[in-house]
Amino acid sequence: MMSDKSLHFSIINVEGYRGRNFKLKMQAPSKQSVFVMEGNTGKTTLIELLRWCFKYPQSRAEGKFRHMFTEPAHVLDWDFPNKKQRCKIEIHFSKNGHNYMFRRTTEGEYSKEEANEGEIGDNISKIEDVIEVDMGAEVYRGDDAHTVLTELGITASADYFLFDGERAREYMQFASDRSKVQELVDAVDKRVTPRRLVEYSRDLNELEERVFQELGSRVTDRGLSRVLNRLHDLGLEIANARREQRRLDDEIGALERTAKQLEGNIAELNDKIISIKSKNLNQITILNNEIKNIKDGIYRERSSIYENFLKLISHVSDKEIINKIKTKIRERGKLPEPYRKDLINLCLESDPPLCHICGRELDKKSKERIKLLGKQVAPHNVQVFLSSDISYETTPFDPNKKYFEIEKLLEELESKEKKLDRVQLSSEEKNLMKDRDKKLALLYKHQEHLGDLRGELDACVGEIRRLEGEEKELKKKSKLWREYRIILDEIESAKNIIEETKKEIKKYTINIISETIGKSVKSILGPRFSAKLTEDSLYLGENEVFHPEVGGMSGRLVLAYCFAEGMTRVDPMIIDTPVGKMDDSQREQLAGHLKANHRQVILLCLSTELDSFAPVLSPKRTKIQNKRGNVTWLKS
Amino acid sequence: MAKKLGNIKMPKELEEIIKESSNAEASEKPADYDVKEYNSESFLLRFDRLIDPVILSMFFGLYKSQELPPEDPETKFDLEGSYEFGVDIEEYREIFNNLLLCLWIHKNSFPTSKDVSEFRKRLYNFTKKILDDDYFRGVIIPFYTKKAAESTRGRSFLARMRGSGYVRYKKEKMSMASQEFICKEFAERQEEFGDLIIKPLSKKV
Repeated sequence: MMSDKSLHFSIINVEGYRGRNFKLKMQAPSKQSVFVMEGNTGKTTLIELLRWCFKYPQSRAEGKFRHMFTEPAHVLDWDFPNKKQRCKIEIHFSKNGHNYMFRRTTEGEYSKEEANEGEIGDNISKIEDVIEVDMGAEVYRGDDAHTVLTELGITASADYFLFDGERAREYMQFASDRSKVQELVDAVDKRVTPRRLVEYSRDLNELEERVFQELGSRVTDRGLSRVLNRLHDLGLEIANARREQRRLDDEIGALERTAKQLEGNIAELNDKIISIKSKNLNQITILNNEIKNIKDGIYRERSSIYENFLKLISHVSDKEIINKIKTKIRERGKLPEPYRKDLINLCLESDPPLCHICGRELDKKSKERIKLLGKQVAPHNVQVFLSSDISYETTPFDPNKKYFEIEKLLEELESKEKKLDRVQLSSEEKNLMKDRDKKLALLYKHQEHLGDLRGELDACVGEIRRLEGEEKELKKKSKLWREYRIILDEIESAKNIIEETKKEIKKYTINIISETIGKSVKSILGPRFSAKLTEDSLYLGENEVFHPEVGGMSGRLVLAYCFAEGMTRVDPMIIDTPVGKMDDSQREQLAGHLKANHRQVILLCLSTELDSFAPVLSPKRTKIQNKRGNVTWLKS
Repeated sequence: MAKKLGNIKMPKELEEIIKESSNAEASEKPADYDVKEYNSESFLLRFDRLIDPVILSMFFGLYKSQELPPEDPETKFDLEGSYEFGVDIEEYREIFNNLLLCLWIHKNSFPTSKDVSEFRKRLYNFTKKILDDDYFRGVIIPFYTKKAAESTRGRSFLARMRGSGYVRYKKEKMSMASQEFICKEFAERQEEFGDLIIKPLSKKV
């Protein structure tokens, strides 16, 4: 384990905060403490009070107390409204042979009226922190007390060694909810970046600032002064742009890893889908062949329609009627054309007009009738058309029959396709496909976002180049600048070394924490399970498959414990209501693991949680009761 | 000697159908084309000759419109398509002319003994016109193919034929462009023409 085992809590005494009044006396070092506290006796308040004291210095504590999911929440006792009250918490602990007593006192008045109007109700008049080292040998007050806690590594670990349901839920989400990536990245970053390096970076920035000020004070020339000011600004702009570049690099890296992971998951899901499909392969093959044959049949039938369409035109069922009509309308008992027309002309053109059939002379009336006949004369082609019957071979082509044949084939096809769907899409396969499609959608979204980020990064790199170019030009121009350049270059180089070191340490530390979490998970859940932490992901693994869906609630709760253990820098674990939905064997495994790996476990639990968990930690248990009304009144 | 048809004016859709039925590359696939759901080769390539769609649409135009062509041989039609044919379609032209003759008689009634002379005069004029090659090429074909491109309910016959290259392997609505629907509709219009125009004349002969 990476945590500092020398820290040991001995007494925690709460007076008045949120109406809680109790004192916890811990077992001696290397022995675990079990406190049985029934519902609504202050377990959650205690854990939240400890986080409040450890995380926020006196000057920033007001309004920072959080209770469950409410922030800010009240700290004063609401059973004694509208009177001045003082609340106190004392935490006694030892570390590296020294004894410490941290105390936070809060004075103020609780307003019921304000609370009823939706406010938190606290009207704090004073918060005071103090740390006494070795019974008063050294005393630190106010924010200095917090500095001591920070030096001791308690502040940075307060989110981990103080473990309750809320934290468990948060860490469980780290392992399954990709929208929590940034929170996980921030948490890991904070945990693995050495404080000293952060301080060095800050010091170097201050030094750089001082050099610029010094440079500025020596300049009398206005133009040069402007150049130097611009150089100073450029330095800041470049630093900002580089920070943005690093942020984009990190975000792109995280997204690329997520996308890669998703691609892996999608490939895995596709394999599973194929494996299920192969079980039904034989049936599917038969159905597919049948479907192909039906489709071929439909294609043949439809093709044959266009191949034979013209036959439909020849299919004139009324041709006898047409022929009869033509017979009726054409002239009968006449000479065929053109002989008839020639005969009429001969009759009319002879002088005197003479009938060339009977030889009689034509009177006026007969001449007029023959003239009328001339008007009725049809041209030869018309006469031929009217006198010829419509006759052609009718080839059988029945469009209705074709229509029903194709319709039958389409129905058959539909039925086979439905059958194929049923065979192909078992519920398991459907779920897998649904899951795969969901992941694909997520992947596309990430890829789109990646595209945007890469665009931003390119723009950022371009901007840095531009700024650096401008800076270089200005530096060349300034003689005075050259005198200071060596110092500033050294500062820049030191800053780069620190950044590189940060990265290296981060990589190394994450590996160690990941191994620690993995080993812990294995020891609790069994050899099949493992866990993995990277810069931006936390996974539970089963049989070396690392996936957000591995493990049930209990598996994830164990992962949350192990994550908290891996991330804390100090050894004690203070746990509130610990085992949720775990079964007995897992409870025992977890308790055994905690006992074996921590010098101090402080357990706050319900009496119903004693079985299979608390006894493994310690046979001794202390029942804690809240003493209501133990508030300290202050004179107005 | 067989008569060659020459250059024919026609609706744009018909010209496109002819082009697609001669060239697989020219066939346009639907936007949602998927080889699993559609035929892979255009059905328009299944016509025997390029003139086939013209003949079909001409007959369809006659069946559906039941109108006589304009008498003026110089009538102009607003048509954007055209195609040069070197084929002989006398066989179908003869059928078509017989149907036109029936339609003409239907619209003009049989003559009484008094007006038989005038009737014959008009009949011979009409018949002379429809037997004229230039009139057939310049008026009859453009007039009736244009009728086939007109839509009454939903898409026109030609528009559906134009879209019938690629058809889904599934039951479609009547307005869709599958071969079986196009052919069925053609047969129905043909039957309707027989029932409304030709059969009533049989009572008078």
